[in-house]
Amino acid sequence: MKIYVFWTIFALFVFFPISLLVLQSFTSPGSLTDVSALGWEELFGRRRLLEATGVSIVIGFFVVVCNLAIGLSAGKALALYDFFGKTVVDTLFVMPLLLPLLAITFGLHIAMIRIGLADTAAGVVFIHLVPTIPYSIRIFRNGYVSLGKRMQEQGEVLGASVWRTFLDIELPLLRSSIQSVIFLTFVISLSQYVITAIIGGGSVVTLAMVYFPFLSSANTSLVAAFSLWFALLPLLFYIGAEGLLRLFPYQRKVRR
Amino acid sequence: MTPFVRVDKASKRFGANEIFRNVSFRLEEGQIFSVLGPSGGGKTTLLRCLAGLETLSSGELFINDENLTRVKANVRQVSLVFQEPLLFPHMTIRENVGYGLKFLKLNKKEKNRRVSEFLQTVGLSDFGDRYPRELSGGQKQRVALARSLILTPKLLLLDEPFSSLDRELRVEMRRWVRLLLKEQNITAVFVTHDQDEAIQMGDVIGVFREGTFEQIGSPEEVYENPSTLAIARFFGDAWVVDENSYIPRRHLYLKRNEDHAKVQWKGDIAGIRFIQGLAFTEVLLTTSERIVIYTPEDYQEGEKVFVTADPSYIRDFHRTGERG
Repeated sequence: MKIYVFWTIFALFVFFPISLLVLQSFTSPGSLTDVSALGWEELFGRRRLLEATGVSIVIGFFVVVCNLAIGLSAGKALALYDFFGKTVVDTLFVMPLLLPLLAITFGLHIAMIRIGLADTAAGVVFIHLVPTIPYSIRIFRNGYVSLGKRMQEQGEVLGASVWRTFLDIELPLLRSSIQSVIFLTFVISLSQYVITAIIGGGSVVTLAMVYFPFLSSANTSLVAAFSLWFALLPLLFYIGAEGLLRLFPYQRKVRR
Repeated sequence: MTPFVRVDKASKRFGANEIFRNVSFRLEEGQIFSVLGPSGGGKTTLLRCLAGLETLSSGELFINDENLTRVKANVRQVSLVFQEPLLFPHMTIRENVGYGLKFLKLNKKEKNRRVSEFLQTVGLSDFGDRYPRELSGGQKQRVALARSLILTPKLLLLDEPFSSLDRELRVEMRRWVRLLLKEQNITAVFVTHDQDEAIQMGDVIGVFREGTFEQIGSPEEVYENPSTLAIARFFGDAWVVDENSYIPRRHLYLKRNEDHAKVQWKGDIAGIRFIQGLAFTEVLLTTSERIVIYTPEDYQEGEKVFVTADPSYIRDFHRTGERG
């Protein structure tokens, strides 16, 4: 019974809309039967499309890397260590989610102008950390809580350094958390429009900046093709990241 | 000869909370030291300090005349087997056993040879390519032991490693582990709250109470000559006469008549108990204490008797303090 409900919902809300999108992207605007590749042709005919895609991927990559570094270390500290002011720090880490992102961006914009980060890709990476880091810390914190301290201590007792324990034990066992963070942060970074526009000041053009003006376009084939292209990116990035993850020790053997 | 392992006046505090204090002991190479004490008495913290996972607040640890007090856990040649097996779930049994060898300068062939050898030693040769979740509790604990032993640590610490196993398996594992440690000539500290286990495993027993050793000695010594009232009560095998003296229980017998030349306690026969095929008589004393005594004679339930002992067997508690 449950399985039928699942497939019905899946068909209705996932499969059907996406098929429509695919179908529309290969047909003329407003028709689903008149086959035409004009939507895709026009999409790749855009001068800035590939450039913006590249910029988005590079920015997304650095956002993911920063999230992994900060999330893993902060999550570990919150999960496994006791220190003075832990609850305060813990609360501060979620604050960015409780305040309106725009308010934070305006404030940071002024600071970035002063230190010269405004209108740069680095500044955009930086501002993308605001809506992503709190999630990463949460995810890794939970990962480390369920992993516990004992496994690392066992590694240490057997002669592993802190770095080796991290590589051989923590990374493989935190794999599902790492996968979630990679996917989640990349998608969030990719979809940022307003804060990218403010901090990037028009000189950093990401895919979202090219995409949004199209939403009101009458050319539905082009918008459909663009949407698919947009949705394909996180998937490709995820597959690439998976490939990289497999290079770490003991990764190939994780079975769940 | 200087002792192989030497712990001098070790103590550990967490803030104002004192976990243990003034802990000293010495071990010869290949000796197994049972640390017996109630749960939550700081035994685990003591092991963690010896392993280097915690630092001592004061005191020192020497192994083979080398001061290891400030040496980090991963370079200290001390291995700790935890209460749970803590096998790495993402590694095969072979990889688990061989994990510590990665950090030694050995070639691959030698590593493989050693892993095979130790898998054989713990009787799990056929399990090398399995994952930990496919093993039973006892097998996992054996892998955990092999993983530590393969590094030939100078000191092996075991923190109640059998407590998660069922009774029968536990008894079997004790015999097996002791034999294995003796075979490999490993110096070990074995922590337990089980008196039988401590006696069965240890060459030396240390009774650990309230954060320090109350008595250290051979199993016979501790059993026969408890140095304090608390140890006598804890071991439960010395008959406590009063605060200062006791009689080893095997010197007690039953008598129907009063005898003023002996020390006696009056009571009624409460029942017969069979232990290991022998009939023991349970006596309810007038002080409402119960005592179980082996006697070849037949007694009827409810009969008045005197638990009797020769006064010459009365011994005084004496604090022997720490050895060495």
